[in-house]
Amino acid sequence: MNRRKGLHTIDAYACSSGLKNVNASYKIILSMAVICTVIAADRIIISLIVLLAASLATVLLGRIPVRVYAGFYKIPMAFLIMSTVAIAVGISTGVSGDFWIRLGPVYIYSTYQGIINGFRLYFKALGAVSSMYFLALSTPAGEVVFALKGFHLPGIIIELMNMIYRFIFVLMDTQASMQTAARSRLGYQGFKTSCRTFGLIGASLLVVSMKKAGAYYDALIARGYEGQLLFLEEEKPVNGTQILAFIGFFLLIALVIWLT
Amino acid sequence: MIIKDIILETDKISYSYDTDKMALDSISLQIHKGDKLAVLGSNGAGKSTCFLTLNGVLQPDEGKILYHGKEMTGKNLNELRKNVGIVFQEADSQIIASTVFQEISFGPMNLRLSKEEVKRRVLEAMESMSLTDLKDRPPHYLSGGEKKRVTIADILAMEPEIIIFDEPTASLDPVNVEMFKGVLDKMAELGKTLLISTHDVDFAFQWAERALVFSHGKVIGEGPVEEIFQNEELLREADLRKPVILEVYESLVKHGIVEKGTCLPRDHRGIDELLGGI
Repeated sequence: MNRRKGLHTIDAYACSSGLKNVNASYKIILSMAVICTVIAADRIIISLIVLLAASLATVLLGRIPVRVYAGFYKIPMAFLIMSTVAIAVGISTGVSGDFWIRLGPVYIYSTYQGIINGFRLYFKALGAVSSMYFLALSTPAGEVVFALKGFHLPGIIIELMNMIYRFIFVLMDTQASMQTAARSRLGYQGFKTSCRTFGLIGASLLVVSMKKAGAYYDALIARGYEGQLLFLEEEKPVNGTQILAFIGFFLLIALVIWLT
Repeated sequence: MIIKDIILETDKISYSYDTDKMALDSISLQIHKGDKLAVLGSNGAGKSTCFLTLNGVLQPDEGKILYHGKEMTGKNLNELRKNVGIVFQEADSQIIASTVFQEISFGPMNLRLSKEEVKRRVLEAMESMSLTDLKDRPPHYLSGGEKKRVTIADILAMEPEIIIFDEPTASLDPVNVEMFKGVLDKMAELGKTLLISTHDVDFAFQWAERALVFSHGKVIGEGPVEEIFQNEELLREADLRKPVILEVYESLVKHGIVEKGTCLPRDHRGIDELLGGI
């Protein structure tokens, strides 16, 4: 099931991360603060420091294999390179910019400033992505949801997020088994058949979901559900080292900004 | 036989999902304290519907449910939900939370217990179902047997007086079935009242003391398992087969190896003792 691999692996790595037992709110605040800093500072050196720190934390402390970690950058890299090129390079009908290539009637050109801007943007985005991956690869989605509760998000949103997280997997498993069953009956032979099978599976997923919703509701009622999903959260206190690391990292960034 | 206290009984309850077919048709049954009750019957005979009414999820269209002699109506249905726990057939339709720990805490949290008490119960339930190592695991990374154990722990943590299992052995491998039997023995020791619906007549014969037989929304037989499984007509009507052990015993009797009227063996050890005694 190649298609479901992406989501499954990020979540699975988060669940086995070495940083799993660190307070989730701490990780959320840390990564968000870092993202904001990277964007606000807008300096290549800050972006590089963040990229390095977030990667080291994810690989060394989180024990995510380097190869896997690098693999996760493939998709954002592709997007970044394309958008950076779009910013650094322009097209015109006359000669302009610091460099240009003539292609028939049009000129593809760029400027020194454009290239520098491109690099700045590229590393800024990469730094932000690395910080986001630090969070995603160290905190299972369910925990992020529960930490958001602490930030006083409305209960209904928290409950919805929680159920969506759970049901994505239920639905994917159902879809995967239907797909396998259809494949074993030659349901994916040729384009036309594939389209038909896809439609049939979509339709029955809807029916199955409705039925499952009924079964879930019964099971909830049976365990005394009264309109609120209550779970016991295990407290994971933030320790002194973590607070020091937090302060230390931002002091370092402040120092670098002051120096440059 | 010692007369035990009746803790839960139904008085002619009926229920229908739609108008033309009765899912439950005037069912009267009694559950005694410490019962080990097997609920038998073919698919669609009304077992699951009956369980949902016993737990208060469904309210019968007609008839009464009495818990400790008190009639359960709309207002005190929560008392039923607190004291009667159901382990559903499909684990995936019961698990709601995103980690095992949270999942098991759901029931006790709904009982509005203190956090310490919830934690104690969750840890205890995880311990007895050997789930402690899987505490932080999301449910979708568990195997079928593990999921089943989580759903049993869910109910154990609520500490109900009566526990209902809806076809618990259907999705378990032999190792997990053995483990499940161990759990049942432990719960019986704790004085829990247990109801199990099953198609596995050999398991029912071996484990249960009493049996209820459902057919087309009615209870067509009720009594000690030995009597139920020796009632050929009843078995035919309910589409049940005889337990293998009982068949072996009967052919031993037929061929004069074992005398009629000796104590009925419940499992292979019983047969062994019987033959060893000759």
